[in-house]
Amino acid sequence: MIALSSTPVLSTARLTLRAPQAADWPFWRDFAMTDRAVFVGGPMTEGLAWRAFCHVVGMWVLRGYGSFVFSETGSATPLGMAGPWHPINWPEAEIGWTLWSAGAEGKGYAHEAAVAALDFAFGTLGWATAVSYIDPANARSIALAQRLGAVLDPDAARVDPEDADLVFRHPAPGART
Amino acid sequence: MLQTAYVSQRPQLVGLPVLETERLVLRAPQATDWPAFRDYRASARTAFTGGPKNEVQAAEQFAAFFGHWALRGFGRLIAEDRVTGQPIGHFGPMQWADAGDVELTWSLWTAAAEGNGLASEAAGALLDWCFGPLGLTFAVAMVHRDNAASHSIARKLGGTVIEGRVPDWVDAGSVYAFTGRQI
Repeated sequence: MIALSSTPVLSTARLTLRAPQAADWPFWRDFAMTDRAVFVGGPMTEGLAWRAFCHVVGMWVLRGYGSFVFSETGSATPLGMAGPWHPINWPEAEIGWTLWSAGAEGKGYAHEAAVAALDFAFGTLGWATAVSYIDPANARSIALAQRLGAVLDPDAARVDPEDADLVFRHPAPGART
Repeated sequence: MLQTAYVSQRPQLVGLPVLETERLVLRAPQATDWPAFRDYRASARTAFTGGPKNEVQAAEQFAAFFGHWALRGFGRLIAEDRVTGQPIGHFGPMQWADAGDVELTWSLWTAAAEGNGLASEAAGALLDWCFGPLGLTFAVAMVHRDNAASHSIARKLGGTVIEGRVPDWVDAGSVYAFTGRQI
Protein backbone atom coordinates (compact mmCIF):
# COMPACT_ATOMS: atom_id res chain seq x y z
CA MET A 1 0.00 0.00 0.00
CA ILE A 2 1.49 3.26 -1.11
CA ALA A 3 0.86 5.98 1.42
CA LEU A 4 2.12 9.14 3.01
CA SER A 5 2.91 7.92 6.50
CA SER A 6 3.56 9.52 9.87
CA THR A 7 1.55 12.65 9.25
CA PRO A 8 -0.07 14.41 12.19
CA VAL A 9 -3.79 14.81 12.84
CA LEU A 10 -5.06 17.90 14.63
CA SER A 11 -8.41 18.25 16.36
CA THR A 12 -10.28 21.41 17.23
CA ALA A 13 -13.72 21.92 18.72
CA ARG A 14 -15.42 21.18 15.40
CA LEU A 15 -12.73 20.22 12.92
CA THR A 16 -10.25 17.49 12.11
CA LEU A 17 -7.12 18.55 10.22
CA ARG A 18 -5.02 15.92 8.45
CA ALA A 19 -2.65 15.54 5.51
CA PRO A 20 -4.27 15.62 2.05
CA GLN A 21 -5.37 12.33 0.55
CA ALA A 22 -6.62 11.07 -2.81
CA ALA A 23 -10.30 11.46 -1.90
CA ASP A 24 -9.74 15.22 -1.44
CA TRP A 25 -8.72 15.71 -5.05
CA PRO A 26 -12.20 16.26 -6.60
CA PHE A 27 -12.97 18.87 -3.94
CA TRP A 28 -9.70 20.70 -4.49
CA ARG A 29 -10.18 20.46 -8.25
CA ASP A 30 -13.67 21.94 -8.09
CA PHE A 31 -12.29 24.80 -6.00
CA ALA A 32 -9.12 25.40 -8.03
CA MET A 33 -10.94 25.53 -11.37
CA THR A 34 -13.28 28.33 -10.24
CA ASP A 35 -12.97 32.02 -9.47
CA ARG A 36 -12.85 31.14 -5.79
CA ALA A 37 -9.20 30.23 -6.39
CA VAL A 38 -8.29 33.59 -7.91
CA PHE A 39 -6.05 34.48 -4.97
CA VAL A 40 -4.09 31.24 -5.10
CA GLY A 41 -3.26 31.23 -8.79
CA GLY A 42 -6.64 30.18 -10.18
CA PRO A 43 -8.85 29.54 -11.89
CA MET A 44 -6.65 26.68 -13.08
CA THR A 45 -7.03 24.10 -15.82
CA GLU A 46 -7.58 20.57 -14.54
CA GLY A 47 -3.97 19.73 -15.34
CA LEU A 48 -2.59 22.66 -13.38
CA ALA A 49 -4.98 21.99 -10.52
CA TRP A 50 -3.67 18.43 -10.44
CA ARG A 51 -0.03 19.49 -10.38
CA ALA A 52 -0.75 22.10 -7.72
CA PHE A 53 -2.38 19.46 -5.50
CA CYS A 54 0.53 17.07 -6.10
CA HIS A 55 2.80 19.95 -5.06
CA VAL A 56 0.86 20.42 -1.84
CA VAL A 57 1.20 16.73 -0.99
CA GLY A 58 4.86 16.65 -2.00
CA MET A 59 5.74 19.42 0.40
CA TRP A 60 4.79 17.10 3.26
CA VAL A 61 7.63 14.82 2.20
CA LEU A 62 10.16 17.49 1.34
CA ARG A 63 9.65 19.87 4.28
CA GLY A 64 8.38 17.35 6.78
CA TYR A 65 5.18 19.35 7.21
CA GLY A 66 2.56 20.82 4.95
CA SER A 67 -0.90 22.11 4.50
CA PHE A 68 -3.71 20.28 6.32
CA VAL A 69 -7.05 19.47 4.75
CA PHE A 70 -9.84 20.04 7.25
CA SER A 71 -13.37 18.77 7.57
CA GLU A 72 -16.02 18.72 10.25
CA THR A 73 -15.06 15.92 12.61
CA GLY A 74 -16.87 12.80 11.45
CA SER A 75 -17.60 14.18 7.99
CA ALA A 76 -15.93 12.94 4.83
CA THR A 77 -16.37 16.26 3.04
CA PRO A 78 -13.22 18.37 3.04
CA LEU A 79 -13.97 22.05 3.53
CA GLY A 80 -10.60 23.60 2.82
CA MET A 81 -6.95 23.65 3.66
CA ALA A 82 -4.88 25.41 6.32
CA GLY A 83 -1.34 24.99 7.41
CA PRO A 84 2.34 25.74 7.22
CA TRP A 85 3.55 26.30 3.69
CA HIS A 86 7.07 27.01 2.51
CA PRO A 87 7.74 26.45 -1.18
CA ILE A 88 11.24 27.13 -2.42
CA ASN A 89 10.67 30.75 -3.50
CA TRP A 90 8.86 31.97 -0.36
CA PRO A 91 11.12 34.38 1.55
CA GLU A 92 9.94 32.79 4.79
CA ALA A 93 7.48 30.22 6.05
CA GLU A 94 3.80 31.00 5.75
CA ILE A 95 0.53 29.97 7.34
CA GLY A 96 -1.95 29.69 4.49
CA TRP A 97 -5.63 28.86 4.26
CA THR A 98 -8.31 28.26 1.65
CA LEU A 99 -12.03 27.53 1.94
CA TRP A 100 -13.14 25.40 -0.97
CA SER A 101 -16.82 26.24 -1.22
CA ALA A 102 -19.08 29.18 -0.53
CA GLY A 103 -21.17 26.90 1.68
CA ALA A 104 -18.28 26.59 4.14
CA GLU A 105 -18.01 30.34 4.61
CA GLY A 106 -19.35 32.42 7.44
CA LYS A 107 -19.05 29.73 10.11
CA GLY A 108 -15.62 30.53 11.48
CA TYR A 109 -14.12 27.34 10.06
CA ALA A 110 -11.17 29.04 8.41
CA HIS A 111 -10.39 30.83 11.66
CA GLU A 112 -10.63 27.64 13.68
CA ALA A 113 -8.40 25.77 11.23
CA ALA A 114 -5.88 28.62 11.03
CA VAL A 115 -5.59 28.75 14.83
CA ALA A 116 -4.83 25.03 14.86
CA ALA A 117 -2.27 25.50 12.08
CA LEU A 118 -0.59 28.34 13.96
CA ASP A 119 -0.47 26.35 17.19
CA PHE A 120 1.05 23.45 15.26
CA ALA A 121 3.66 25.63 13.56
CA PHE A 122 4.72 27.56 16.67
CA GLY A 123 4.32 24.59 19.01
CA THR A 124 5.12 21.27 17.36
CA LEU A 125 7.35 22.68 14.62
CA GLY A 126 8.91 25.25 16.90
CA TRP A 127 8.65 28.18 14.53
CA ALA A 128 9.73 31.54 15.92
CA THR A 129 7.59 33.53 13.51
CA ALA A 130 5.15 33.09 10.63
CA VAL A 131 3.63 35.28 7.94
CA SER A 132 0.67 35.14 5.60
CA TYR A 133 1.00 36.52 2.08
CA ILE A 134 -2.36 37.99 1.04
CA ASP A 135 -3.57 39.72 -2.11
CA PRO A 136 -4.74 43.25 -1.24
CA ALA A 137 -8.08 42.49 -2.93
CA ASN A 138 -8.70 39.44 -0.74
CA ALA A 139 -10.78 41.22 1.90
CA ARG A 140 -11.97 38.04 3.65
CA SER A 141 -8.46 36.74 4.08
CA ILE A 142 -7.23 40.09 5.35
CA ALA A 143 -10.06 40.12 7.88
CA LEU A 144 -9.11 36.64 9.04
CA ALA A 145 -5.43 37.55 9.39
CA GLN A 146 -6.40 40.54 11.51
CA ARG A 147 -8.75 38.43 13.61
CA LEU A 148 -5.83 36.10 14.24
CA GLY A 149 -3.87 39.07 15.56
CA ALA A 150 -1.53 39.30 12.59
CA VAL A 151 -0.29 42.75 11.68
CA LEU A 152 1.02 44.17 8.43
CA ASP A 153 4.78 43.94 8.17
CA PRO A 154 5.73 46.53 5.57
CA ASP A 155 9.41 45.62 5.78
CA ALA A 156 8.97 41.92 5.10
CA ALA A 157 10.08 40.56 1.74
CA ARG A 158 7.32 39.63 -0.70
CA VAL A 159 7.25 36.47 -2.76
CA ASP A 160 7.55 38.59 -5.86
CA PRO A 161 8.86 42.12 -5.28
CA GLU A 162 6.91 43.22 -8.36
CA ASP A 163 3.52 42.29 -7.01
CA ALA A 164 1.44 43.98 -4.35
CA ASP A 165 0.89 41.12 -1.90
CA LEU A 166 0.50 42.20 1.70
CA VAL A 167 2.62 40.45 4.31
CA PHE A 168 0.87 39.87 7.64
CA ARG A 169 3.00 38.69 10.53
CA HIS A 170 1.46 36.46 13.16
CA PRO A 171 2.05 36.84 16.86
CA ALA A 172 3.29 33.79 18.75
CA PRO A 173 0.31 31.84 20.13
CA GLY A 174 0.88 33.06 23.70
CA ALA A 175 0.57 36.63 22.49
CA ARG A 176 -2.62 36.00 20.52
CA THR A 177 -5.83 37.21 22.10
CA MET B 1 -8.06 23.52 22.39
CA LEU B 2 -5.52 21.81 20.19
CA GLN B 3 -4.67 18.18 20.55
CA THR B 4 -2.05 16.65 18.38
CA ALA B 5 -1.49 13.06 17.51
CA TYR B 6 1.81 13.93 15.98
CA VAL B 7 4.34 11.24 15.41
CA SER B 8 7.77 12.76 15.72
CA GLN B 9 8.86 10.68 12.75
CA ARG B 10 9.17 12.64 9.54
CA PRO B 11 6.35 12.12 7.04
CA GLN B 12 7.42 9.84 4.24
CA LEU B 13 6.09 7.93 1.30
CA VAL B 14 5.99 4.22 2.00
CA GLY B 15 5.25 1.19 -0.12
CA LEU B 16 6.99 2.30 -3.31
CA PRO B 17 8.58 -0.42 -5.39
CA VAL B 18 12.29 -0.79 -6.02
CA LEU B 19 13.11 -2.06 -9.51
CA GLU B 20 16.52 -3.56 -10.10
CA THR B 21 18.31 -3.93 -13.40
CA GLU B 22 21.82 -4.96 -14.25
CA ARG B 23 23.28 -1.48 -13.88
CA LEU B 24 20.52 0.54 -12.20
CA VAL B 25 18.26 0.69 -9.19
CA LEU B 26 14.95 2.46 -9.74
CA ARG B 27 13.76 3.69 -6.37
CA ALA B 28 11.52 6.27 -4.72
CA PRO B 29 12.36 9.92 -5.32
CA GLN B 30 14.11 11.51 -2.35
CA ALA B 31 14.97 15.05 -1.33
CA THR B 32 18.63 14.54 -2.15
CA ASP B 33 17.71 14.10 -5.85
CA TRP B 34 16.71 17.75 -6.05
CA PRO B 35 20.00 19.37 -7.20
CA ALA B 36 20.42 16.85 -10.02
CA PHE B 37 16.80 17.24 -11.11
CA ARG B 38 16.99 21.05 -10.91
CA ASP B 39 20.11 21.09 -13.07
CA TYR B 40 18.45 18.78 -15.61
CA ARG B 41 15.28 20.86 -15.67
CA ALA B 42 17.29 24.04 -16.28
CA SER B 43 19.28 22.48 -19.10
CA ALA B 44 18.77 22.37 -22.85
CA ARG B 45 18.18 18.63 -22.46
CA THR B 46 14.53 19.47 -21.76
CA ALA B 47 13.99 20.81 -25.28
CA PHE B 48 11.75 17.83 -26.07
CA THR B 49 9.90 17.79 -22.76
CA GLY B 50 8.53 21.28 -22.36
CA GLY B 51 11.73 23.30 -22.36
CA PRO B 52 13.96 24.61 -19.60
CA LYS B 53 12.22 25.56 -16.37
CA ASN B 54 13.39 27.98 -13.73
CA GLU B 55 14.08 26.84 -10.19
CA VAL B 56 10.59 27.63 -8.92
CA GLN B 57 8.88 25.68 -11.70
CA ALA B 58 11.33 22.84 -11.31
CA ALA B 59 10.75 22.71 -7.56
CA GLU B 60 7.00 22.50 -8.02
CA GLN B 61 7.42 19.70 -10.54
CA PHE B 62 9.84 17.89 -8.23
CA ALA B 63 7.49 18.15 -5.25
CA ALA B 64 4.68 16.93 -7.50
CA PHE B 65 6.62 13.69 -8.10
CA PHE B 66 6.00 12.81 -4.44
CA GLY B 67 2.41 13.98 -4.39
CA HIS B 68 1.55 12.00 -7.49
CA TRP B 69 2.59 8.79 -5.76
CA ALA B 70 0.44 9.51 -2.73
CA LEU B 71 -2.60 10.50 -4.77
CA ARG B 72 -2.60 7.95 -7.61
CA GLY B 73 -0.61 5.10 -6.13
CA PHE B 74 1.98 5.27 -8.89
CA GLY B 75 4.45 7.80 -10.20
CA ARG B 76 8.02 8.48 -11.15
CA LEU B 77 10.94 6.45 -9.86
CA ILE B 78 14.50 7.72 -9.86
CA ALA B 79 17.12 5.61 -11.60
CA GLU B 80 20.31 5.41 -9.60
CA ASP B 81 23.59 4.20 -11.03
CA ARG B 82 24.65 1.13 -9.04
CA VAL B 83 28.33 2.02 -9.28
CA THR B 84 28.31 5.73 -8.50
CA GLY B 85 25.10 5.91 -6.48
CA GLN B 86 24.18 8.99 -8.49
CA PRO B 87 20.63 9.63 -9.73
CA ILE B 88 20.68 9.66 -13.53
CA GLY B 89 17.06 10.15 -14.52
CA HIS B 90 13.38 9.60 -13.81
CA PHE B 91 11.18 6.84 -15.15
CA GLY B 92 7.57 6.24 -14.38
CA PRO B 93 3.90 6.39 -15.22
CA MET B 94 1.96 9.57 -14.61
CA GLN B 95 -1.67 10.56 -15.04
CA TRP B 96 -2.70 14.19 -14.89
CA ALA B 97 -6.39 13.91 -15.68
CA ASP B 98 -8.77 11.45 -14.04
CA ALA B 99 -10.21 10.57 -17.43
CA GLY B 100 -6.87 10.71 -19.21
CA ASP B 101 -4.43 8.01 -20.21
CA VAL B 102 -1.57 6.87 -18.06
CA GLU B 103 1.56 8.24 -19.66
CA LEU B 104 4.90 6.46 -19.46
CA THR B 105 7.79 8.87 -19.05
CA TRP B 106 11.53 8.41 -19.25
CA SER B 107 14.23 11.05 -18.99
CA LEU B 108 17.97 10.87 -18.57
CA TRP B 109 19.16 13.93 -16.68
CA THR B 110 22.64 14.28 -18.16
CA ALA B 111 24.33 13.76 -21.51
CA ALA B 112 26.95 11.66 -19.74
CA ALA B 113 24.32 9.01 -19.02
CA GLU B 114 23.43 8.66 -22.69
CA GLY B 115 24.60 6.22 -25.30
CA ASN B 116 24.99 3.19 -23.07
CA GLY B 117 21.50 1.79 -23.26
CA LEU B 118 20.72 2.89 -19.71
CA ALA B 119 17.43 4.53 -20.68
CA SER B 120 16.25 1.38 -22.47
CA GLU B 121 17.31 -0.74 -19.52
CA ALA B 122 15.37 1.42 -17.06
CA ALA B 123 12.36 1.81 -19.33
CA GLY B 124 12.20 -1.97 -19.78
CA ALA B 125 12.06 -2.46 -16.01
CA LEU B 126 9.45 0.27 -15.86
CA LEU B 127 7.27 -1.47 -18.41
CA ASP B 128 7.59 -4.81 -16.60
CA TRP B 129 6.39 -3.16 -13.43
CA CYS B 130 3.56 -1.21 -15.05
CA PHE B 131 2.08 -4.19 -16.88
CA GLY B 132 2.97 -6.60 -14.09
CA PRO B 133 2.54 -5.64 -10.44
CA LEU B 134 0.87 -2.30 -11.11
CA GLY B 135 -1.72 -3.95 -13.33
CA LEU B 136 -1.95 -1.47 -16.17
CA THR B 137 -3.50 -2.74 -19.40
CA PHE B 138 -2.92 0.39 -21.49
CA ALA B 139 -0.54 3.32 -21.43
CA VAL B 140 0.82 5.89 -23.84
CA ALA B 141 4.10 7.67 -24.36
CA MET B 142 4.31 11.11 -25.95
CA VAL B 143 7.42 11.84 -27.96
CA HIS B 144 8.49 15.03 -29.69
CA ARG B 145 9.12 14.59 -33.41
CA ASP B 146 12.84 15.31 -33.14
CA ASN B 147 13.55 13.22 -30.07
CA ALA B 148 15.14 10.33 -31.93
CA ALA B 149 16.48 8.58 -28.85
CA SER B 150 13.06 8.51 -27.27
CA HIS B 151 11.36 7.22 -30.45
CA SER B 152 13.90 4.43 -30.45
CA ILE B 153 13.07 3.45 -26.88
CA ALA B 154 9.33 3.55 -27.55
CA ARG B 155 9.71 1.21 -30.52
CA LYS B 156 12.10 -1.08 -28.69
CA LEU B 157 9.56 -1.45 -25.90
CA GLY B 158 6.86 -2.48 -28.34
CA GLY B 159 4.98 0.79 -28.58
CA THR B 160 2.84 1.35 -31.65
CA VAL B 161 2.10 4.81 -33.01
CA ILE B 162 -1.48 5.96 -32.59
CA GLU B 163 -2.29 7.47 -35.98
CA GLY B 164 -3.60 11.02 -35.92
CA ARG B 165 -2.80 11.69 -32.27
CA VAL B 166 -0.17 14.19 -31.16
CA PRO B 167 1.35 14.88 -27.74
CA ASP B 168 -0.72 17.11 -25.46
CA TRP B 169 2.03 19.70 -25.36
CA VAL B 170 3.31 19.85 -28.95
CA ASP B 171 1.79 19.38 -32.38
CA ALA B 172 4.92 17.84 -33.87
CA GLY B 173 5.29 14.41 -32.40
CA SER B 174 3.85 10.96 -31.91
CA VAL B 175 1.85 9.18 -29.27
CA TYR B 176 2.71 5.53 -28.77
CA ALA B 177 0.34 2.95 -27.34
CA PHE B 178 1.49 0.18 -25.03
CA THR B 179 -0.60 -2.80 -24.05
CA GLY B 180 2.00 -4.95 -22.37
CA ARG B 181 5.61 -5.95 -22.28
CA GLN B 182 6.54 -6.84 -25.84
CA ILE B 183 10.15 -7.91 -25.55
